[in-house]
Amino acid sequence: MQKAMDVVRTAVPLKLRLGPRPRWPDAVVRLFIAGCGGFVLVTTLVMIAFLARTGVQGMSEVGVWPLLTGSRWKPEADVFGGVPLILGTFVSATGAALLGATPAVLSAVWLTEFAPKSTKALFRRTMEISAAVPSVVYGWLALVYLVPLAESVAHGLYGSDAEVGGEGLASSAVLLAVMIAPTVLLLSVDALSRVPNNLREASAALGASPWQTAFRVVMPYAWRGLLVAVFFGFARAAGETMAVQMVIGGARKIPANLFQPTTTISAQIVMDMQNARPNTPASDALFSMSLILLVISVGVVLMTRALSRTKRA
Amino acid sequence: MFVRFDLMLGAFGVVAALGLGCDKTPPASEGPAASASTTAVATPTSEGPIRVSGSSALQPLVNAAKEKFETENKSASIEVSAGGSKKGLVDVGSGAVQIGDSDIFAAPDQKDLVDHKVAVVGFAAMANKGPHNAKVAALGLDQLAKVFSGEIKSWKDLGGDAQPIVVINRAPASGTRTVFGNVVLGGDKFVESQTEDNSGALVAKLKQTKGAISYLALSFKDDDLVTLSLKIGADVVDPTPANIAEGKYPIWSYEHMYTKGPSTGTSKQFIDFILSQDFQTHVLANVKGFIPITSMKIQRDKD
Repeated sequence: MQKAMDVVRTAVPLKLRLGPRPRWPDAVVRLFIAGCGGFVLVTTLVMIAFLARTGVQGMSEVGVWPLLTGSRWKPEADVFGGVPLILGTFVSATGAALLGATPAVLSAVWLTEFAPKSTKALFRRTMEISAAVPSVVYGWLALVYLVPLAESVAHGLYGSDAEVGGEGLASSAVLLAVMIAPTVLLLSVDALSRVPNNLREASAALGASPWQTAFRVVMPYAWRGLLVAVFFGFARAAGETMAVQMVIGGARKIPANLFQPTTTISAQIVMDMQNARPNTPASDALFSMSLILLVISVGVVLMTRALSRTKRA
Repeated sequence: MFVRFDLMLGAFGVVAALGLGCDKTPPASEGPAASASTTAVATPTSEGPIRVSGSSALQPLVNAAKEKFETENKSASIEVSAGGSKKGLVDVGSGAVQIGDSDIFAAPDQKDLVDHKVAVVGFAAMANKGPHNAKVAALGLDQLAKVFSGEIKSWKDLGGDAQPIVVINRAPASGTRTVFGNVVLGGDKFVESQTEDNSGALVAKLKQTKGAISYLALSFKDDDLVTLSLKIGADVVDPTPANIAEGKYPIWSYEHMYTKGPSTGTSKQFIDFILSQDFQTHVLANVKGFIPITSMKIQRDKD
């Protein structure tokens, strides 16, 4: 490669950029890049095809109806009711989107519209760092600090003799909210920064206060981008596995409240996979649940796609 | 302009190098695994590494044996991993490992697996220690069954103070859960509750959660936990090696090492080493919670 670069360097003088240059390194490089691209694409397609095939097979073995409406998940007894898993995923992801996205979007507004420039950069860097913290670290911190706290809150709410504890949907929603907030914030900042400045100036010229400009001009203009940010947060929360598994409790039943152990699709896959012999209903049903999770995530991504394509926001 | 172009080409070079990497890596990683298993099958006496997986309860013992065995047989190499008894049985059945460790007997349809019983481990109900159960030292099997099926919900009903019982389970893949369930509940009839997927995490959780109770191998016995003895008739039977060997304490299981077909070559040498009188009495008996298979006065042929 070094040799090829030397050739190019001597072959292309400063002022003659369109001059002749050897073609074969170009072709080789192109081939490698195309090969890499193709490899990634083929891997993804093969994976989706496999998941679809095995997932559908699992659904035909244990039945779509029980999988989507059954309230008990007990593969060791061949009982495959997916409701506790799907419900757990939806409730914790929705809770996370509500708890995490609201402050994230509002701080993005503050950051783009009100904060001084120096604060902006510092805040952005901090959020980028928190977005890069591995999920197992968040999970561990939550297990040590959040779960005991949630336990005392639960006993405060339901009484000291109640069947409640720190592990459950409340803990996992709060944990996921903390985890998705940086991502939602960064995406929201991007959306808000794309709002043309002349709109702000025009608003100011009409006598609107910065507050009115932010909430009546900038946010309405950027609503699609903000929604995309929130949906991405939701998708990330729905797919998160490690951290959730550490605080959800792992009971395969529908909880009576937010402070009882339950499970999510991803957490249950981790829990069951070592027990599932290939080509058994237990294994195929896990693939069915993976397929459902994939459909949820892809659905959310496609929705954001559709939203962001309607109009550049 | 020129510099930028130069950099771009450099970047392309890096990408191309990565491209080479990703085109070549997958076959390379499949290669050794495939060739290792074929050589192991074709020439059993070859000195390739012997792979062992399965029960996390048995892992400390197998590791201890591996150290001694490899010192005595310089050419032998043993690789030990853990992932639960049922994973060990799956792995040895599929040929991914030569030896599958398990706390439980293989399923009846796994007929090609040959059992080698190498040790015995006892299990007991263990609970969070506190004033609420200071007076509870032993429970009958029927009481334990009611606790773990969710029928008894307060320590008050067991002779302690009014404190809710929090049942913590192991994951269904766990050998401990299978054995405890079979002896105490007559099957996997545990109440659906909070679940931990390994014994170490469970010990931590038990210490942390007031009123909690679960079941563990005696190798995880801990002074900060209450280890419950059994009330059998008028007697209180402690989970001691002597009581288990004599058949007085019923919650125990064999530690199995399964091979696919009769063991051969290094696998056979390794299993024979663990079964040797020397290892059983001088090493195994000193590893916490393990009972030499040679000291058992009773036998079982199912869990």
